[in-house]
Amino acid sequence: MLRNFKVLMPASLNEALYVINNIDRPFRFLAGGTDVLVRLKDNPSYAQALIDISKIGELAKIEEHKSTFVIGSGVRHEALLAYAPFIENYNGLIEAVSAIGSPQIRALATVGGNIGNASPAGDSIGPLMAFDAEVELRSQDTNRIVKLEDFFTGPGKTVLKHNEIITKIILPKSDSLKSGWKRLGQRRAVAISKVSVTLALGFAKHSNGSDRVNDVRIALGAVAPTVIRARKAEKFLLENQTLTKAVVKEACRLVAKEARPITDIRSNTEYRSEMCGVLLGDLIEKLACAR
Amino acid sequence: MSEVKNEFIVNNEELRKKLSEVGKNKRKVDGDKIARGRAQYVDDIRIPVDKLYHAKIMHSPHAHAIIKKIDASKALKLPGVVGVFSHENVPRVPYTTAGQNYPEPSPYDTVMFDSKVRYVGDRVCAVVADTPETAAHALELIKVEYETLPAILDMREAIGNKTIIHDERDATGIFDKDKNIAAHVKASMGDPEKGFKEADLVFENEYSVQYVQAAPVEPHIAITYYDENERLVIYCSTQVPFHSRRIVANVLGIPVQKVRVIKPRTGGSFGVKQEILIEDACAMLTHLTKKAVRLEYTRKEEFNSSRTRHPQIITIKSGFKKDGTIVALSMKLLANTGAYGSHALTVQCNTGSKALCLYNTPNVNFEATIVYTNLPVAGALRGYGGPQGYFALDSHFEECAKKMKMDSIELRRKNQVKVGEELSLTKALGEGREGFMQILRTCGMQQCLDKVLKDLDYYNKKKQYDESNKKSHIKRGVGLALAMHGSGIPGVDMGAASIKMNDDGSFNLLCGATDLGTGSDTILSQIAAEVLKIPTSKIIIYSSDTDMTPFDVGAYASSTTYISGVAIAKAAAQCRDQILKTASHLLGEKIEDLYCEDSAVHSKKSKKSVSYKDVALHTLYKEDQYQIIGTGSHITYDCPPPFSAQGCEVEVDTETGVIKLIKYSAAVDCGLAVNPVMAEGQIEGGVHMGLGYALCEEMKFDSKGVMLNPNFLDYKMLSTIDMPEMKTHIIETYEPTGPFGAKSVSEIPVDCPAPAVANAIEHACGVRIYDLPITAEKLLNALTNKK
Repeated sequence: MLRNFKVLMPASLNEALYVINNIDRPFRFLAGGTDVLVRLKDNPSYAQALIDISKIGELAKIEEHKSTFVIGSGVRHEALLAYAPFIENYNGLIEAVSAIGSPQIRALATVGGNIGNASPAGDSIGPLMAFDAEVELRSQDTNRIVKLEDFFTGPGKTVLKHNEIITKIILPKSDSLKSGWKRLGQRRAVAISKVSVTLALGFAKHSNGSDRVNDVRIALGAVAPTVIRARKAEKFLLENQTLTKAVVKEACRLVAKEARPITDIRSNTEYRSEMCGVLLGDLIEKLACAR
Repeated sequence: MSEVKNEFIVNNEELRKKLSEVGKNKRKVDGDKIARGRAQYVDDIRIPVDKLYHAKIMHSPHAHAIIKKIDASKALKLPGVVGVFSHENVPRVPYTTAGQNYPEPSPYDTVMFDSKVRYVGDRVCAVVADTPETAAHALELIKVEYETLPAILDMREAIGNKTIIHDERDATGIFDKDKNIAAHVKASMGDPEKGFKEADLVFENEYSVQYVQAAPVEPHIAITYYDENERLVIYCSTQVPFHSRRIVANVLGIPVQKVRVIKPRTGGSFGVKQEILIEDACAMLTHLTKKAVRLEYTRKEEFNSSRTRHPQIITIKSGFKKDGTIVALSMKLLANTGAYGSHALTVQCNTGSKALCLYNTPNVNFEATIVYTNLPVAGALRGYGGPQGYFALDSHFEECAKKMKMDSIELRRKNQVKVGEELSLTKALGEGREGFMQILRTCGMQQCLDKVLKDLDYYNKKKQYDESNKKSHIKRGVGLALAMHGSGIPGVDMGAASIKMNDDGSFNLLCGATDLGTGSDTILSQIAAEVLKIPTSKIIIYSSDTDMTPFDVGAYASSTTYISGVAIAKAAAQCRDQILKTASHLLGEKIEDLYCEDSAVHSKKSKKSVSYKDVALHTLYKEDQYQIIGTGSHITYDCPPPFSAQGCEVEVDTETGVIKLIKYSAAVDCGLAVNPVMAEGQIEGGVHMGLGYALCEEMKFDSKGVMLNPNFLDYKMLSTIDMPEMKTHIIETYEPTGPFGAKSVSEIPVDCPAPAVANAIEHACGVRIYDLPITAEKLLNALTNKK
């Protein structure tokens, strides 16, 4: 039960920044509310105030710049899924976001919320991290850009300071990358991922005329305290350039070793590790064939 | 077996064609108001008192502990708090929460508030306050001191454990409390030992099934108050208003006369509301405070403190002749009833009497030992032991066929019970006492099986996939399962109804049978309308209210259509006979020359007729006035089984263990379907529930007995998009003892999905899973071990 609880509804970003700079109690942001309200219901001491930033229009825009897309943190998943350039070039992101919750949840939940929630199973984070996205964090007096990979420090933990808001997600343009995303869940919808893998590959022509890999990004979800990049497997694939059966097999083995999953009610350590390899194998096959 | 005495017989196609209300897809009588949000559920009821107070229950955080002290001083000082109630100030009366017939065949091992808690979620105390918030706040202010005790969290460790869960002196009906055995049953037919000796081949396997919940949309809820006549009124979401009245009166120590239980619309129940789960406490709080009190469980409380399906470990042994004839069958169960023995004996009896009668075996052995553990309490849940037994039996039969290199379908067809045969264990395994030997009168199993085989293109797919599966890690398989269930509890279940005629030729139908969302108000109205020869829309049904409606044991054991339906037909027939008598007077013709049709009485001779309306007006206002009214009660010693064959096609990814449902087919012989569309709905709902049992539903606990997933985020039921393409068939047979040929349909569908899926998975990837649910992790692990 909520006692002595406050809900604040700033009308602009500046007002919001002022509010969080001066508030004297533990608070949470309310953007889509799909997580925060569930948690509050379960645990009334989760927060003593909600700061409703869902009405701040300046956070809800997607803009195209010369070399980046800038996604406002308040952009809802549904809006992201409808944005044509993403549909065209960010298949992995689209696949991941389409799998979040249900249509009802995607109509409310925001990109900033999925990031700020900092769940290792947050489905949009993997592809964003694979595309080397950055986040803009603002306070009343400061404005800093942090790589998404450096943003998370643990489950539910980030570098966000108490007086900062995630304002933007900066997504580099990457027309040359082919990407895909796969996950395993307990069922097909409204299920938290047991394990997810994002793969983005860039290809170029080899001197001998065959295809070679010239860019590899792999992100793993739900298998470590935060979403992680699988740097060893990335490096291995990049060095080998050609996706032979043996190379793919070794990459899958490496990625399974890079995962550091736990056993919980959704799955177990062994399964999650092994599945990182299986899903990566599937994705490589899919992206290599799709060319 | 009783002689067939039922004037509402439909036993052939010709009579079937003459029906105008029964056997038709009539609109659900409460459908419109439910769709428009106007239906009155318990929480919508506005009671005629000045103020409604709110109760909250404190549940035990420990699996097993003695309550040393309850300090409620701070809570009692909180403004708005009316009182705090616990074992210290509530009378101690042992009872069972199982809403069963009197005397209940479950042990009296429960008291409303005890000084000992036996599972995480057990009752500690309750608060009554002016708002739900104040009540919740007050709970936080109560300090309880516990002395924790060792807990039994594995049913295999219960017997002979030093820890004794029910060491209280006043419990009765427990089989062996020193050994933590709540109930035990043994039954046999023929000579099993000799049967196994004479068998050419003997197979034995062990299976196990998990804790699951029914999870109805509407949680348990009760509103109780004393009315102006000093009578205790209980509105609650229940399947058993009359059992609820009797049990609550007993626990409160007041006469049944002082209690009135009303069941408004119900948002699902599936067995867990055959339990006197919270209305006893709510009523006691009203009784002690004289306030009107509302108590509703949250979803978390439902998961922790409601009722579950009994987990079981099942050992099956079977003996066959070389030609596939079964000659001996044995089933041994170890079942977990949790901390209290609600339905402990009867659910397990049902596992035996349902599963072991399907294949006609001359020598049968059954033994069930039901133990206490410090885990949530099991109880009634759709299928009532059936899903457990059939998962084991149908999996086992498939394995036996494989080992004998026989077609499993033919093995089933060959051994399946046939019309005219005795259902071997029905006499030995009754409702906690000896039952009544059943002889099979109708059986549509072979037709059910044919439908399912055709839907799945079973034999072709079987061959085709055997080949194609060699080439890919994505493998397909088809599998089948069969089941039979019951229709009511013979010699126990009784339903009654009354019907009276109004001025305009409409009728009030009052019945104790409880519609839980099942649609029984609709089909019972159809039955009354068919007998009276009026449109179903002319029936005004009211159910259930212990002051207003005749007695009915309630909605359980698939009894409502089969038992209550006949009671209603009898009551309607009495009205019809009175109408004919008056019409005979009005028309000046003999009753033998008259017949009823289209809301009027017609003469075969003179072709004259008189409308029901004119009959009603005459009887109520004109001459020798009287009320046309009929009552009917029905009890039967028959229990005709409905049959089902179900099958599915699955896809298994042997790299991930992920199981995808591709296609499902279910055929049910439910006798005549009173409302075919609603019967199909029951089948599809039951299959959905069974598939969740097969693949993903599971209550999980930590090492201290705390449930890890008491919410819908972590306890996964299948969502609509997880459901495969589904074909549903009703195979009509005509059961002579049922109303217009009906048997039952509500429980049978849930019996088959788990074994059908397990069998299909085995066909796809060659791995047999012996314990539910079949998760990707479990299957992959088994696949790895096989390599």
